[in-house]
Amino acid sequence: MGIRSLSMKDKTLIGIILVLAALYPLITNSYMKFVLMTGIVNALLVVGLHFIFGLTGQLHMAMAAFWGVGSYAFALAVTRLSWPYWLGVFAAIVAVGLLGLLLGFPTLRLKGFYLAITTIGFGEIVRLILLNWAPVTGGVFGVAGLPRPTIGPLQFGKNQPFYYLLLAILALLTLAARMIEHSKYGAAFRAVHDDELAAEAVGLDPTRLKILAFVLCGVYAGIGGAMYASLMQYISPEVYTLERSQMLAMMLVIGGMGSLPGAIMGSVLLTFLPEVLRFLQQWYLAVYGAIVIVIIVYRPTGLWGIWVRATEWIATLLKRRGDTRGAA
Amino acid sequence: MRRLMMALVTIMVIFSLSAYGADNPIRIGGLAALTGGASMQGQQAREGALMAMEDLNAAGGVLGREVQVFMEDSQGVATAAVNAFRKLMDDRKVCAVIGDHQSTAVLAFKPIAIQNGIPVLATGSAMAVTEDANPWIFRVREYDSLAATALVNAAIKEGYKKIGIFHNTDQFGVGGRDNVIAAMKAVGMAPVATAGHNTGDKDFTAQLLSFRRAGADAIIVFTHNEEQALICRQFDQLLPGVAYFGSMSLSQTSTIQMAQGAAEGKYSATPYTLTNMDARVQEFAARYRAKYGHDPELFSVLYYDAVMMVAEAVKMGNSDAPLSVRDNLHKIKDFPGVSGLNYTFNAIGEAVNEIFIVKIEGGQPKAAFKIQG
Amino acid sequence: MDFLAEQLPIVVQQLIAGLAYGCIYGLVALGYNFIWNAVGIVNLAQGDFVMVGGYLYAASFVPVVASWLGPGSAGSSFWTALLLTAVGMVLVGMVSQRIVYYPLRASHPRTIMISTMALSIFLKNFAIVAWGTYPVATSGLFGQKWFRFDLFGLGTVTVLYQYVFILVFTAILLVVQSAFFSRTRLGRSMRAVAQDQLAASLMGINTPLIIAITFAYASILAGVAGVLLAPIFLVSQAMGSIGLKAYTASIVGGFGNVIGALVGGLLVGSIEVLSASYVSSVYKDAIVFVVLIAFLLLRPQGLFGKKVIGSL
Repeated sequence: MGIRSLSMKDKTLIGIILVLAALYPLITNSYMKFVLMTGIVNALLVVGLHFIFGLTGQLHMAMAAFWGVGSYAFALAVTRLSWPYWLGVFAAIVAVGLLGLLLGFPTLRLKGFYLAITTIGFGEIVRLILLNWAPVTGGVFGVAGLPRPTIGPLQFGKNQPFYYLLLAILALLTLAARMIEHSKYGAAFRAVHDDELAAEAVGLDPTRLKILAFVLCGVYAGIGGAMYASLMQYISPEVYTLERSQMLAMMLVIGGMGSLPGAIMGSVLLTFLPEVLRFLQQWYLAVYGAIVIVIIVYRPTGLWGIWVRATEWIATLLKRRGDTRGAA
Repeated sequence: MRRLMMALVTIMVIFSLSAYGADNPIRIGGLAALTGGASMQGQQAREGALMAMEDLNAAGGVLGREVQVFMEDSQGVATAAVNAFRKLMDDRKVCAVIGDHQSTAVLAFKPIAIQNGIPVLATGSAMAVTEDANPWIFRVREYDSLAATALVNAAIKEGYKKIGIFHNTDQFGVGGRDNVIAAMKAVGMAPVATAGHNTGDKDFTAQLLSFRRAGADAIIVFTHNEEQALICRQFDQLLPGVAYFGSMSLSQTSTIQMAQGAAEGKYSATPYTLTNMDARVQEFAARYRAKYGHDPELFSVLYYDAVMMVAEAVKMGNSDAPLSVRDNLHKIKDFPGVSGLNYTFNAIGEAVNEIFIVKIEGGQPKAAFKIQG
Repeated sequence: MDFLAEQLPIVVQQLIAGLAYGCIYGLVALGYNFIWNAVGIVNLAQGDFVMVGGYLYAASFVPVVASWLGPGSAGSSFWTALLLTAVGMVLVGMVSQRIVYYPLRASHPRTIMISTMALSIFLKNFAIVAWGTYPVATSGLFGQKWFRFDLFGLGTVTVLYQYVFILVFTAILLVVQSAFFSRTRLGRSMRAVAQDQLAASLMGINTPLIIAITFAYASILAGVAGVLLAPIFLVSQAMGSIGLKAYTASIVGGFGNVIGALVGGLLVGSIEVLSASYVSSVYKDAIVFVVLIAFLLLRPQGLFGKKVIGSL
């Protein structure tokens, strides 16, 4: 199987991962390097959100809660219970997977904006619990002193090795997501997205599929949450707000709904955008909101759509040049 | 779309160039919540810090070099604060960072500061900021237990015995609550009731009535300006005859104005009050009002003083290397601030060790007495 | 029994406040419902329109109007500023729908939801730049005046005049609104568009214009909510959080239903104040959302709604 037989999406995905790998040493500024790491962690979460928001088309607005529970499960496991690092990550996966199940089951009958407000409410409940259940979560003081990982003799304490580990995790999880997307499950998710009744008519079980999507999203959020905690080495409850859920959803939509390469592009771009706008001082978040509106309104297909058009444009340009050369 | 991107890139290039254009200036960083719910305090912090920069440069700079103060937005959220701190450290190459005024933010970037050797002059009040006595971490603000003990002592001194605690559920409020409980325990007392509220809450009837049910004769309120003002208003109607001891925010002009008269007769603990007749305080307040059109508040003067102290440390060491700044900050003795305080950093980096108990009378915080930590 | 008698004045006092907040939620919820009926989307920036209304009133118009009319004109300056705010909100609503809804009207509702979210981020941060970071205190018609009355000798009930004003004002507004929808041509057109867009446009109604007017009306309602709240709460960025409670109210009442929005609002307001008193003041918002989720699971059509149909 040569590179030519890969689809455009796959080529782009490989390209993005390679570009991200090459980018890190090229950035000389360690602040921008750190922002890039945050972008990768966001991408982990957004790829998870892709299952439910993008593929299955459910308006899941509690991503910050998933992410927060992942961070806290990891942090509490490795600090309070002194579990080994990867067992802590596993705890985060299980915790958020279960949370996905918990949220998935009762809300299956709900659609569209009903699901949106339910998940918003759910997210607020989780946030208030993280904030106020001090004996367990550490309350407002958060959890400090979180470790970076090791694998056997390999140390990932420094930012650079940790970045490549994050990128490897992102590549693996994106590969897994791509495989799921192209399996019968992916087709079934899309069927639920397009028309639930029709999906049911052809023998699919939308209920089970939606739960599966929620759990998958939970698994990704668990890993993302743990990696966020490990990246920051300190977590506190004021991070996991509705605004964060909105930002993650925006990353997916700006990236181009329903495409994995778009999800990663959107995450990295929207993580950098507020940072590069900082020079605008108190204007910067207003400008950020305005830019997001402009992109959504004028390019509803998102970055992925822009990318597809750009490559087509370049392809025709190259072809035309080839033609003229041939004529001469 | 393409044109927009071009414009953005151009702006970015111009700004990154302009940051390096000046002739080897002395760079000082500041962190504050310039957006979000705490942006009022952030604005005051920014105004104070920038005014210090102008004053220093008007006096010919430091070591003959221009002083540049960079303020970055922490949003009061750990994630944003870490990014902002890294920007100051890596991008702006500052020799010291002032802030943040929210302890959550400080705790998030503190390990990075220590690891990379950047002195931090924090303005958050949680005990955890300085408790490990790290030489890189200073605090230019009253700490929670100082304010809490002062308020408890003031309430006892005024003869109140059944004290309730009302606190914000954020880091500031919870820290306040825990320190009030500790201070009461030290004198063999316990609160008759404790209630919390979340940031952004507007209706406090339920909590205030719980103090009435518990028979409290005084309450101690640890929260921020906006909530403090609303609590004052509702308190007057629901708990007549009960005494009110508010945290620092109550003594500030903005809160007194927002309370629309309801701050009258209430006590507060603050290291800085506008009614301090010290010439430094009055002269600064007059200049600040002329420049910005409103009164300076605690964070205005603390950020101003902190910038001045960093400049002083640079002068003392004849260097703006972070290590030299840190070591010379520790050597500063009785540095006179426009807050009216004289700062000396103690072994764990605390500079504010005294606090006024004020009573709001005629819309002015009148100093009742001073308490030493 | 003694406990009940002792608690009764407190409950009454809390309920009056709860109902007043409920009216506010109801007004905002009505806005959600009108837009929902007209175009089948939820404007997640509706809560921020409340904030914009509050700022327009307290920070922009009140000072200006008061300086026009001179001292001692509290009453007329309130009504003038209210009117100006309503006009301002018409602009806000029209412009917002033109930017975040109209170009996307053929897209998936999810995309529109995201664009309204971005609008919400924009408005929150624009408010800081436009009106400053200091919360604005304003007095309205009654300022901070409270009144007390004795409840059957059981105890004193202490209530803000503004609470009563909110109740009365909302009642009058609803009467005017229902007359508007049944008696005026514009009102009838708006109803026609809400019932069936295609049929309405076949009848010669300028549907896009009516939709824009619906958005404008929804923002007037949000703006009025902001004006009514301004004297009790301070006007600040945080005001936008009302949007979520109002959204909850509109679901509890039955999405798309006018009476439902108001009843849902009153219910949410009362649950909020009573759970703060008797369950937990810290978790009161969580309790509201638990009630919401319970409602959605047990009675997703809400109190007054039709069965939930259609897939979004």
